[in-house]
Amino acid sequence: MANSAGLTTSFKQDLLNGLHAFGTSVVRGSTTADSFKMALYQTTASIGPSTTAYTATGEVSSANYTAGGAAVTNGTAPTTSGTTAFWTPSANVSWTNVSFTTDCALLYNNTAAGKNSVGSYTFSAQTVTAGNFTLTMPTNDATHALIQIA
Amino acid sequence: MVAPTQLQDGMIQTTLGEVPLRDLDVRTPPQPETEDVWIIARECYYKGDAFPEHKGTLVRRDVWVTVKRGQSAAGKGGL
Repeated sequence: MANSAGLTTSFKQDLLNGLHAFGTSVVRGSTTADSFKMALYQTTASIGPSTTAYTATGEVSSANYTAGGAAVTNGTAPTTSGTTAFWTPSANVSWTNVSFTTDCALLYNNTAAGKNSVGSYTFSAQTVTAGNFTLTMPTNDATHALIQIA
Repeated sequence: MVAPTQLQDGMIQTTLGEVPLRDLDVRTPPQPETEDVWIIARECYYKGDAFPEHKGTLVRRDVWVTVKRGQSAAGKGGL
């Protein structure tokens, strides 16, 4: 199997069901925004648009890498431009002094009971050796944001 | 100001433990770039005398993956 990229199909449905709250203020029963995480996966994992939730299967393993991945900084509320809504974490995600090979990052809702998936992001396989791995976020606009809904 | 791929003087964490920067040959080999992702890798090869059996060995590799463009719900999500 291999990893593939895309906003997960279940995420789109979950949006319609009001499951995820990216905003800094929440328009629903809960009064706090959800927290999200990024987990990294081995090249042999099967993460992609059909992934419905965080899974430990195929996740990378290393000293200084905690299962479940790293927290995503959510300091910028979703916004729109034209007919597109978009959102990007307000800080990069990084791991220090780790050793693993990865080609995929899964963004998921860590507050949701089901750890519901959001999107899978792939890149050419990279090996980190006793070093740092950094995911630098894109420009937060309608054509580059980490999540765009046109 | 130190660029992200530069290592500051001093002791650097590697597979051999902490070693002086002067004992490392630091390289930034070209990495594949797509319209959605840009990657930088920094590789450190040992050239010191303390561990002669490891000369020429990769002892540290850092990676920066820049997501130039995220995923759209409107279409293909490939990178």
